[in-house]
Amino acid sequence: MKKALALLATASVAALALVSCAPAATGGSGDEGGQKTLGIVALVATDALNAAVIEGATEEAEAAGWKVVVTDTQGSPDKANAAMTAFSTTQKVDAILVSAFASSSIGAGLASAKAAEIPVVSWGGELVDGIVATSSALKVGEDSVNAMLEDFGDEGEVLALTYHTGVLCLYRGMAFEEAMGATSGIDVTSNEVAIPGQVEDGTAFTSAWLARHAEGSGPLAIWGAWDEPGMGAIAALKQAGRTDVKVYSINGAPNALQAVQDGTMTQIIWQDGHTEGVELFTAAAESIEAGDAWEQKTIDVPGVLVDADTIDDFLAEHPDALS
Amino acid sequence: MTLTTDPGTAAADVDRRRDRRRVALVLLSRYGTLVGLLLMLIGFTIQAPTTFLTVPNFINILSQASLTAIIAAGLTMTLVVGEFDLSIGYVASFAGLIVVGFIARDGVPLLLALLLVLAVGGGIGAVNGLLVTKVRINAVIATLGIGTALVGVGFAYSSFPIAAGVPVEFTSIALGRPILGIPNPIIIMFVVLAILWIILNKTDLGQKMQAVGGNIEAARLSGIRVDRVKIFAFSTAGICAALTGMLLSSLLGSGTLAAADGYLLDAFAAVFLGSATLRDGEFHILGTLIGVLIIAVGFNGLSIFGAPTFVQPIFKGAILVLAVGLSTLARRYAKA
Repeated sequence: MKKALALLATASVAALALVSCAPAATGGSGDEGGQKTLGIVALVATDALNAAVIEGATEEAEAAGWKVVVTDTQGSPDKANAAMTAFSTTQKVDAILVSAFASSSIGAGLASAKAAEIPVVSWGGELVDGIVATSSALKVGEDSVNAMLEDFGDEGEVLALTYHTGVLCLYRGMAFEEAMGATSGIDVTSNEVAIPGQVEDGTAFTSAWLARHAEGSGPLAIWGAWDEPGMGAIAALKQAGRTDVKVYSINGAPNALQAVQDGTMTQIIWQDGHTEGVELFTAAAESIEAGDAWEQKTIDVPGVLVDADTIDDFLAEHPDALS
Repeated sequence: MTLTTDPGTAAADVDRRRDRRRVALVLLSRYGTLVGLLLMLIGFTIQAPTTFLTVPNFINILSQASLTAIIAAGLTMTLVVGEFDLSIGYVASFAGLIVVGFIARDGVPLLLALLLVLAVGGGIGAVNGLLVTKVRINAVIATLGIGTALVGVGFAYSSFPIAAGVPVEFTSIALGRPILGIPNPIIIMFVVLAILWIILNKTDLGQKMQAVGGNIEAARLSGIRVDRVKIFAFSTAGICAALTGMLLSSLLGSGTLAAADGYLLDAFAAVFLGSATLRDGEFHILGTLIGVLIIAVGFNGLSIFGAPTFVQPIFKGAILVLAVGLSTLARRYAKA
């Protein structure tokens, strides 16, 4: 056993030494056949919106003859940096798409990509040095809170289910807080949900908030930074048999759209993750073509307001949205 | 005036003081968490009599606690036999996803789908048990590995939430209130807890489980089939996790990947809180229920007061460390 461990340790050290002695790679196809590769670093690949972005980018990349490699970091910035470094040095991808990480948290990964001259596009992250294009996360938050205020009015009680750790929800929360700060008639209770546990927390916070806000106590609403805590809130409302509370959310996962259809969700800003994925890959490919002439840009794919009045038209236009 | 002390009397006084201290510490270690729960109930009631101390709010608390209690009760079984199960949250999430998939996407009849998914949960638990007992993989590694793999399997099954075509019969499981207006999950929770309590405390199998957890070598030497007992415990945990996942999906009206992952830590917190209740650090079903209630009551009360969000995890962590720490210290000094 000791001999086996010693051999394993020696092999590991040798492998590390070989890796550290390897010459620095530069951007370019790792494949001998010349096929380009897109490396995707996903925050949580199992999240519906992340999956839509990945799907959009993958379809567009494969249509352009690229190969796609996805790393699911399960929300870990450390894993994101490691994945970007591996993409830049050993896997030698041609472009990297980073999904839903704050750009400030992937400094090491960005440095590796920059050293290897690999363009990085970010879904929702800040437009810092090393990122050629990003998609705006603030816009969707603004769309959501503006639509909510138009529907709900400027007086009442709102429970906000926030998540400041994820960059998309951080920006959405910022937009929400700014709008609420300018609306003196609304009393906001903010609760930060945890991941994992976002659905459970949405249910638990809502149940307690309902205990404090009896039926008929005034205009009541719940705003979810994204669908999952919102769905948890709906579960709590169903448990309590309450129909006097409006629920607003962002993303538009199939279950949330279904909730709009059955009347338990008031309004959603549907974020077209698939199109954002397509646009981000296109920007990455174009930046390679443009070389030094490329200018950083922010891609704005507007959200779509989905409520009881528009759900049928929306589903006619997006028949796959529920599946 | 000269005072003299009879050495015999002094020694007896010291012994009496030591006995009183020992009794006090034993009481603290066994009933400290119950006293804590009672104090919370009194405190929240005084602070918010019109909102906290209401029947609907207590039903809410029990509803919130019900799913955690079911999954935590299953976990209790594995801890009783001296093992860990880190896959329960993932099993619950996976079960919640596939049950909706079976019903809404694949057209499997409701009852058959429920039984199938319970069997899947039990099967995953059995695999955990086999890996731990036959392959001799450490339980933490085996269950973490299986749980992580399940995330991938679930993702392969459906990367998006499944919501279309969920029948009302399925959502009625969690939302129905056929008995005295009590939500079904609460009733299911008490049924599950009662069954597991009977198994652990009133059956030969339960005695064997406790023997395995207490001293595995002695249990083996006394002829107990240790591996079988452990596999049963893991299977039970898997079934309870699957049931939790199905109830959550019924509540949500959809199957969502990772929806139940958060139950893992809550279940562990509740079970360890329960181990510091009524017994000297032993895992048991009633203790687990009390542990779940402590967390649920604390969470509910703090939310009603509108306490800042950061207070919640601080409370949860502090109550866990305090309860288990106090219990451990009290036991140690009581034996001294």
